[in-house]
Amino acid sequence: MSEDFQDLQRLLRLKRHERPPEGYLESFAGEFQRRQREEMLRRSSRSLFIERLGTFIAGFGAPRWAYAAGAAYAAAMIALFLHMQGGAVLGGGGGGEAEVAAPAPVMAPGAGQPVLQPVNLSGPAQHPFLIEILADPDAPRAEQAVPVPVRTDQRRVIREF
Amino acid sequence: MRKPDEDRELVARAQGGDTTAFDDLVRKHSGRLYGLVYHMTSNHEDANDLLQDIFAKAYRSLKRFRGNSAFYTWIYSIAVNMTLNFLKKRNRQRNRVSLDDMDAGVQNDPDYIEATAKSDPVREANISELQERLNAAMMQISEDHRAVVTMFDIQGMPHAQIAEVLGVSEGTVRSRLFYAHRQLQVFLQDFLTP
Repeated sequence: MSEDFQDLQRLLRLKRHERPPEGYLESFAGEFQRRQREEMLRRSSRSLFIERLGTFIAGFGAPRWAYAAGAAYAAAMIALFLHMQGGAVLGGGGGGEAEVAAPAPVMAPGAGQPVLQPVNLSGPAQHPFLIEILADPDAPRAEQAVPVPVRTDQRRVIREF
Repeated sequence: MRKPDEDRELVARAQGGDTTAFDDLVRKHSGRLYGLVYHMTSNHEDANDLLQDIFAKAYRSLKRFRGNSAFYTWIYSIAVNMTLNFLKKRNRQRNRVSLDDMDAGVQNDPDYIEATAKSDPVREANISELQERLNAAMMQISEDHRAVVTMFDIQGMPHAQIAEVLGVSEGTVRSRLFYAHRQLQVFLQDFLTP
């Protein structure tokens, strides 16, 4: 070890004599507690919750990639759930209308004539056509439905359709 | 040097929610940790704020401390990393120096007596001039080099423990010390034996 190096170390060791003001270290612990309490009051409950959650999860000792995979899975599940919810809402909007819509006339087997099917009028009648029918006292009701004679030219159109 | 498991009981109690046990750990380690941060920053106010933050972080992370290393080494790692991050930010601003006074005991220190006996500039400089020159030289070297000089030359930590704190090999610690000493010798040339 060179003499220069020993002299340098001797000089550097003198820095040990640089000391904080008297009483500083004795009061440091008290100051630390005071700042901790202040910080607790200042921080939002959300950030405290996130920190607690982080500490709780870290307690399991799982590797970091497991947390990332878990978070990605949870995000995918939430996205899937929201997507399905959105589809149900759209489907539900059309459902009300479908409930009151009259079924298409079906051909009676062998008769070659359409047969009127009973219409469910218990649901909300929102369709303007139904409102018009319901408002007409002379309009035929489901239970009063009678076969309507179909002309030959109309039969051809129905067959082509 | 501290035994590795000296703090184990206090740490276990603190992990179980005993805040007085953590207060004991703060009292026990604040002196040396203050020295580490102060010698790296050369600023009392910065060292005080950083030390508060270091203990706050250690308290929040205490549940994650598994005792693979000594508590002392663990909290030293937190302190070095936080101080290095702080210095990187501070260097973009202005370098502030706020030095603690040297205690009266320096006049009777055998190192000081020998230094004044061997070097005229040391003898002629008063204590505060010598202190300013030492701090100016320390601030000239890089933060990584300053960290190893602080731990090895000022605080007397062995190479192996410094390596553990920094998460590097002992060879890296020795290499950093070698380059740091070479630079410091240049900056303090006139105080060293011709």
